[in-house]
Amino acid sequence: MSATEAIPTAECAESPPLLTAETFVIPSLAGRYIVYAPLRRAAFIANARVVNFLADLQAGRFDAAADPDGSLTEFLRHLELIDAGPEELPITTFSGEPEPTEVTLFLTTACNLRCTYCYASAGDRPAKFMSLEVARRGIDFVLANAVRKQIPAIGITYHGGGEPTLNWRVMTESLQYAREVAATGIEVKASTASNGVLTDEQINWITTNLQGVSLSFDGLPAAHDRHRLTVLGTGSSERVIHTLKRFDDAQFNYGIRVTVTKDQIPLLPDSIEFICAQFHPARIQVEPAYQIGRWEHAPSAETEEFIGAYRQAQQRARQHGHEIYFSGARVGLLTNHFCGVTQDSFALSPDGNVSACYETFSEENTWAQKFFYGQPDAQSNSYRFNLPVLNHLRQQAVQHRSYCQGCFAKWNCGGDCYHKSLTVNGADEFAGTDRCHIIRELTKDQILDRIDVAGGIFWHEPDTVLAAQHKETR
Amino acid sequence: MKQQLPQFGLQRVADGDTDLSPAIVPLTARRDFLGAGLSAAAALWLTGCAPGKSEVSEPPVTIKAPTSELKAHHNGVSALALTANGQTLASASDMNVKIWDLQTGRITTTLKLDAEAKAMALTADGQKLAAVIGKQIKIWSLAQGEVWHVVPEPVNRVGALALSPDGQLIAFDDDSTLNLWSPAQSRLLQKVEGAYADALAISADGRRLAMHTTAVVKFYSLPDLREQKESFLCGVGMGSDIGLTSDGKRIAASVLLDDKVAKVWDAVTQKVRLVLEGHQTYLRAVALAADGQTMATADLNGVILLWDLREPRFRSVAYDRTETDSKVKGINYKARDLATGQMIGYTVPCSESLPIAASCVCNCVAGTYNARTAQQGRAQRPRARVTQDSPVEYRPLEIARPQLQEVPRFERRIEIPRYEPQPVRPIEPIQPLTPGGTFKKPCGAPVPPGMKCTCNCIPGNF
Repeated sequence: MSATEAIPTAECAESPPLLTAETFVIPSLAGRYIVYAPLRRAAFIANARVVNFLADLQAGRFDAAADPDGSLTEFLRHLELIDAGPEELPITTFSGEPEPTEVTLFLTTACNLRCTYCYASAGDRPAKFMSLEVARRGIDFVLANAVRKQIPAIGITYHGGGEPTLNWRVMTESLQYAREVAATGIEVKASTASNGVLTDEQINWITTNLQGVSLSFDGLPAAHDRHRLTVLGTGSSERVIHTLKRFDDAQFNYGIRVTVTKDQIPLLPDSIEFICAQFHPARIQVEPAYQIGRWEHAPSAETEEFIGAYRQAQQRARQHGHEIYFSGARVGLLTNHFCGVTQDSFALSPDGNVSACYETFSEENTWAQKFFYGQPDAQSNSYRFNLPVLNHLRQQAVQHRSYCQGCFAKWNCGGDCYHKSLTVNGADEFAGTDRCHIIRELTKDQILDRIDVAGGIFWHEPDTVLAAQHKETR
Repeated sequence: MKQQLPQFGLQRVADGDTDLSPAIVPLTARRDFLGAGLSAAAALWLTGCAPGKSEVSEPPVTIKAPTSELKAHHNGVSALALTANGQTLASASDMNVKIWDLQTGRITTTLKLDAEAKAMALTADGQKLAAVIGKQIKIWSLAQGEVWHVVPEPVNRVGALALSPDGQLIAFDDDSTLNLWSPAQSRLLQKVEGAYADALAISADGRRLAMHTTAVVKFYSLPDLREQKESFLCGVGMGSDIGLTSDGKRIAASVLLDDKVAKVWDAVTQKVRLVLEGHQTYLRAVALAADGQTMATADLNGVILLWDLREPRFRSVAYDRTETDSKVKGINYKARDLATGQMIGYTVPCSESLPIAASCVCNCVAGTYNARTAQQGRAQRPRARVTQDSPVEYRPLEIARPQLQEVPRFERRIEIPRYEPQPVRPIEPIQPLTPGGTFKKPCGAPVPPGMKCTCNCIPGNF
């Protein structure tokens, strides 16, 4: 039916079906469209007639002639796209004074590596080290919140614009302190990011005391050593591989983060296969190198070539029973947040000030004023928070971003990284980045994967994720 | 990649001329979305095929074949085909097609090709073979060993083909168009646009074509090639290769790419009925006889396993001794098929157990060596002991070392250098750049008393 023909209005029909799902249409080849209803966790591939039938329903018109036997209506009803009641939006919001129960400690900006693409430019400036007192204050704060909120666990993450293990004394003693002061019944969960250049003693302690490690490793030794250099200018892969083998021997839970520069894109499939064949990480994350810090003026890796290499790498990984993932493509998750920045993330710089962003680890960072929202309270053992700054961060959740409203991936990526959008768009309103294209393409792959696994006709997983969403409003 | 405002919200789109009614499009292995659309009614019917939706049912039966290195081809098999009664097998590899008489287990014909065969089909009597060779579809008369007919139109992407029992019709899909060709008349009889097939089978009376496309089985009447819309059966998802019975009720597939097991579905009950295990490497082809009683699976190493789906059980391997390492032992024997009364030749690995009332006289199975035969001085060439009442005959498998070069298996393996702490480099004497000014030395060197390190490489020395 063409758009000019008369369409019976909903008023004419006795009980016209109602579109009850936020539905997106992703054009594909040859007049085919992926119809995706993220909040119903449903998707299928259809021709233009089906799309137009749905579009008419959205406009309040029921084209009965397009579905003479009612089977299309029934099919869409089966997938909860019509007549299924209102959808529950996966939105969590935050207000008032933050009450975190997890703390991130940026232990140091010192680093024993000089990675060419380091977002933190670690080593370019005099290093800072967090004191034990700063760490203790943060731990005390989240512990008090856990007790007040009756949450039986606190989290400590060691991170920073350097290698956290270089502030070894504070790392080990702060965790020991947390476990000593934690009340009975409160568990202390700790993890760290690391470049993997560790001594055997450090490995022993980590596998004994931490719940997990996110370890930076770029795969093939030749790829890794090209960019991840020691302060002496030599490759670091031998040390990292030693650490990985030790982790595997201990059956330790760790993830590998692979950073891909433009020149390394062709090596990505081989690098992933190397990792999958040699090691046993619980997670493998692949990200194009960020054009910030030491890599600010380098060629972008956020390209079509990256997407192609990622797809090949995913195939290789699956042959080994692994799955790689990219931070913004996550069909399995429904959320309005990309990360903790919009969820009152509580991270302490070496000087003890509060940042919401892992990439803004120092008060000297370019966008520090956007992300530092608190400082130690001289009058108490707590913190003073700058609520206007914090509320501005909370407003970066995806439901507030006008650019994202027409994007099918919005409830999966949650609006992507605010810090990276600032580096691309400046302080102006978010207008999309090259990462958005990568996110959409890889999200589309995941949708098709789900259709495939579900039998090839449609994907529909009701009653799973929405029930697991925690709607938190304070 | 310039970013535009994403606009994926629902809005009307231009109708294609070819789409007359709403259609749901099954996902194909190629992910090109060019497959035939299903009517909403069919899609709705198939909602019952979704995993996890059906009632609890009996678990599938797993059939395990013994580990076999008895090979049919030196390299991976690219295509298989069975006759409707499962008595003749065609297997393609290395630009050869071997025709096997499965009653004797012997190769009757070997065709030398100028390209790899991608998809194949046999007539009911096993006298004609159709295959996609490069950009052509050719039909051979196997008795003469000659090409009988060539479809003159070049083909591009053929997913499956089928021959009618008498060889008078050939159905194949090409670039998502289902074609029905008459070799006798050398003309295209019918075609259906937008039909992608990964398996085709023609019924014994030659009047109905069953087509498997992803997740659905559809039927067409012959020779008018009209879709029989009233009948749909649940198919399987993507498979590296798929076989189909002519009634469309049984589907065999190696489920996903690089899977080592094959599965057999009952398309009526939508359940996996059989799981066939035994291949040591990835499957590359499967074939299901149109009568649904025999199945063949082939892998990357050139091993072909034959399965009897009636009992069901592992039946035999297709074995070509010129393709197999001489160290690999096997057993040949004949036994009477109780259903048909025919004597069937079998080849099984030495580890396979033997039927009752028979003993193995080869020396490949520990503990079953026939000592009495050896005492009679015939140990150099032992013969089978055949009891008078036994319908079973045995003889040791004679295996000659093939004159083939060893081809190293592809393995992507990188030696990881063992980490050895590097010896400490001697520190060169410090040379002042300017008298009384700044000194430079390698990171890691001790800082002299009274001096201050300005880099941050050594924790605590800043």
